[in-house]
Amino acid sequence: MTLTIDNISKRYGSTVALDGVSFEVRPGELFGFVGSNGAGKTTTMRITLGVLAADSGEVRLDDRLVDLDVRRTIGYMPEERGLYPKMKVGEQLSYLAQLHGLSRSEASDAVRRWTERLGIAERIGDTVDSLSLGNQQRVQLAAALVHDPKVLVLDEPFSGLDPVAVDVMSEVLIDKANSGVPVIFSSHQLDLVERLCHRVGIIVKGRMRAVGTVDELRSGGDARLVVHAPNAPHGWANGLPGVTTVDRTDGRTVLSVTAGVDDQKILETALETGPVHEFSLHQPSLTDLFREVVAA
Amino acid sequence: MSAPLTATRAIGLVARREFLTQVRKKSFLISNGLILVAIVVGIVAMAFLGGGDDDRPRVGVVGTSGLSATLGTIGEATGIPLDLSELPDADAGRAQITDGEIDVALVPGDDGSVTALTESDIDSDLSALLDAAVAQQAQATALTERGVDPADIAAATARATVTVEAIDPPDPEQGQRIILSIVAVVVLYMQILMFGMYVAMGVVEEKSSRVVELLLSTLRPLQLLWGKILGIGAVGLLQLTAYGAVSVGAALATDTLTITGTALGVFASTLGWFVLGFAFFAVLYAAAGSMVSRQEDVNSTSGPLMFVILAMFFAAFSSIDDPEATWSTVLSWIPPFSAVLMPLRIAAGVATPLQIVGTVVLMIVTTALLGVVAAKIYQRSVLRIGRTVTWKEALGR
Repeated sequence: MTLTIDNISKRYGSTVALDGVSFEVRPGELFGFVGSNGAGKTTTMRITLGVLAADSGEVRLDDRLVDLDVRRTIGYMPEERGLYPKMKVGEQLSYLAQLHGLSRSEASDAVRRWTERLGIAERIGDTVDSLSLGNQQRVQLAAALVHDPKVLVLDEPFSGLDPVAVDVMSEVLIDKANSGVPVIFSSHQLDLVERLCHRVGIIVKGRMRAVGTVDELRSGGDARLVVHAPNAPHGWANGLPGVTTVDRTDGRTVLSVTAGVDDQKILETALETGPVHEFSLHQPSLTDLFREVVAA
Repeated sequence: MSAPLTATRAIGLVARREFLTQVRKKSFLISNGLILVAIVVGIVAMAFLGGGDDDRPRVGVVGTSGLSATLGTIGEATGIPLDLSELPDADAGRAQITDGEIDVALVPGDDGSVTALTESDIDSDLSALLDAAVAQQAQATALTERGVDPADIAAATARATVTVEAIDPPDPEQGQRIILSIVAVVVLYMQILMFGMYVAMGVVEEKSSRVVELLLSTLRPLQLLWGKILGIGAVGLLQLTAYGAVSVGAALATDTLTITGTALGVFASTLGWFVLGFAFFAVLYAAAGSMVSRQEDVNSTSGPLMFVILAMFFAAFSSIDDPEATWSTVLSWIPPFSAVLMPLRIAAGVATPLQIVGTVVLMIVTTALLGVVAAKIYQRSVLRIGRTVTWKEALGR
């Protein structure tokens, strides 16, 4: 199944929260949703889950508009974590599973399966507020998974997790994606997103600024070239077309090179000034790309 | 994945959770257990203190003259039954009075006069009864001495009594009806207020714990709203039924209440009007709860509701004395005032079937309309975390 966000807009009074947001999350794909605070990630996810209504645009799962029945097949982890504090873990998960359409016996099977998988099986009879924060997070994830969702929408699933829990969470998300479920999650931990996600979407002030694989995002941007030529004078590369000097310290020059420029030409120019000890192309990380996109 | 969730099952699931959460609370079980025990103890105590033979004047008579028999007859006739006993002499009488075993000792003198010994004073009714008995006894003795049979005299004067024919006879049930009315009003007041507040607090709990966002991704706001109201209302109904069954049962068993039919009728109508009154206020309390983000702010938006409920109950208490006053009749048609004035009128026996049906229909229609408005407010406010939403904002646009 493919989750399609199609041209969604949302205003709060005179503030534009989302402006024609479009992207899709394909079957078996881990999609990283990245943006600064207030850029519109949570609003997009809330609209996907029908918790908020969009002013225009639509959300589809394959060709079907996402209505209440479809939403019940989505697993959702809201940014504002929330469970009934005084309700027992097992009863709570079973209740949520039944609200998603499972029968009572299906629900109790699913609760047993997921609490075991997430390492909270022995806490099933405890109230949620008696658990540690980390375990509450695991219950929250279980709440998103317990009805065997066809789509996963997770808002900041990694925030507040300890390293072990991050590994458990990553593993579960990869598993889900491998079983063909489209998974979208937002995060500020860009290294994690880069490592896990097949594709990434960057949202800036309510608009999608970039969508694609990390490699695709890189190919559009400028490459970084580091040249260590100690004898080269200031501005030695400035005459070359498509090349700008970004930084120079201790004889080491960082150049920004637009796509399609011949790097051998740059090397020749550098060698003319004397010895070259280092000549390396730096692939920008997602963090670099993100900064670039946000700054643009 | 099983079949799609129907609205009925969705509402049922929510209602079931609310019901179980409430009735499993330790505080709920303990407080209700105590209240039920208190009801039984109170009614039994009332029966012991109130009724029984204890308040009959205890009169001892010295000697075996006919005075005892005459006292008994006149006592029955005038509605002051006496506890009569025989005394050997005046000293024994004095002793028994001092010990509190009897109230009055009658000591006949030689000349037909009678001395009444007592602790300090004799109640005027009893005094008149004693006078009449002694006079009749003296008369009978005198007639017998003159050869007339007192029985003939009695037969001849038997018809010479005054019969009361009232144009507006007092209702013999009135006392009990008034008590039933007061109980119905007080209980309705407490139940509606308490369970309305439970609804508001339940809504705030979901909002402040943020679980509402998860719920609203699988439920329509109206389903969540009505599920909650049904679940909590069922607890209220259960509690009220338990209170009512125990009270009426205990009161009938101890003869504190003698009007079984009326009592059961009042009980049933109180249950029915609780459902209507609760539904009316519950939708409003749910809206009020959705407007705040913290438990401690609930009062700021539910204050106006509290005010209306108080006004209703002041109106109810004012009309207990005269339920047929024009203002009370008019007010009893207006929701939500009907929720408490109607059970009162039914208890007082002044409600016509037409009025009962009419006010019930009016109440249901009003509640349904309010339910739609309240759901709008709820939907609009429940995800607005932070600052309290005002009624003006919630109702605007």
